[in-house]
Amino acid sequence: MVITLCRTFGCTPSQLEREDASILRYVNIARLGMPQPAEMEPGYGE
Amino acid sequence: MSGYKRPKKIYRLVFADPEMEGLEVRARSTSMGDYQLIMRLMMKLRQNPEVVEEDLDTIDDMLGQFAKVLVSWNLEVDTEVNGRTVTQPVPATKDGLLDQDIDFVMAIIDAWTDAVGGVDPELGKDSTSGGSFPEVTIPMELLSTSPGN
Repeated sequence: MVITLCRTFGCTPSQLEREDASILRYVNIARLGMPQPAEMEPGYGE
Repeated sequence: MSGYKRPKKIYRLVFADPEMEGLEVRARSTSMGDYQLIMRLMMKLRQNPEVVEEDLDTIDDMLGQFAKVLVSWNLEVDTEVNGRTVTQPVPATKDGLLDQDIDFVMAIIDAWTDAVGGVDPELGKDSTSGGSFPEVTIPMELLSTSPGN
């Protein structure tokens, strides 16, 4: 999870560790808005 | 000009469990590093349903970490003083946490982790999860050719 979040926010793990944990809420909300694999239409993201 | 530090957000935790009805806990947010540490300690404790001796250090660490974010609660306890029962507030400290059942403390920490990093399960329930909106045909009428009408 740490590596994924670092990639998302473009920061190092040590920077992420100092960030407020409430960013997890935003990450979870963003995830809710993403199509689930089963819902993706052919050609999605191409 | 003096500096300003933005205070950490404080969450007011309430509980659906009837046994914990009336309990109010206020706890602040924390850094990702400390949040992950508390989550790891919780997961370690959940691996074994029975508390064994080596779990005591884990419990001590976890309560120490959680005590840093615990702001206040309305928890009280009855104690005997000179043969009389006196209701006293339990301090919102590591010692206060250590005096409680581990299941009770873990329920509070669960509520806190949900409040800080979780999302209301109802949120997005009716959403199409980013799927394409169904295409519809909008009925259209021809505009009048006369500007006067």
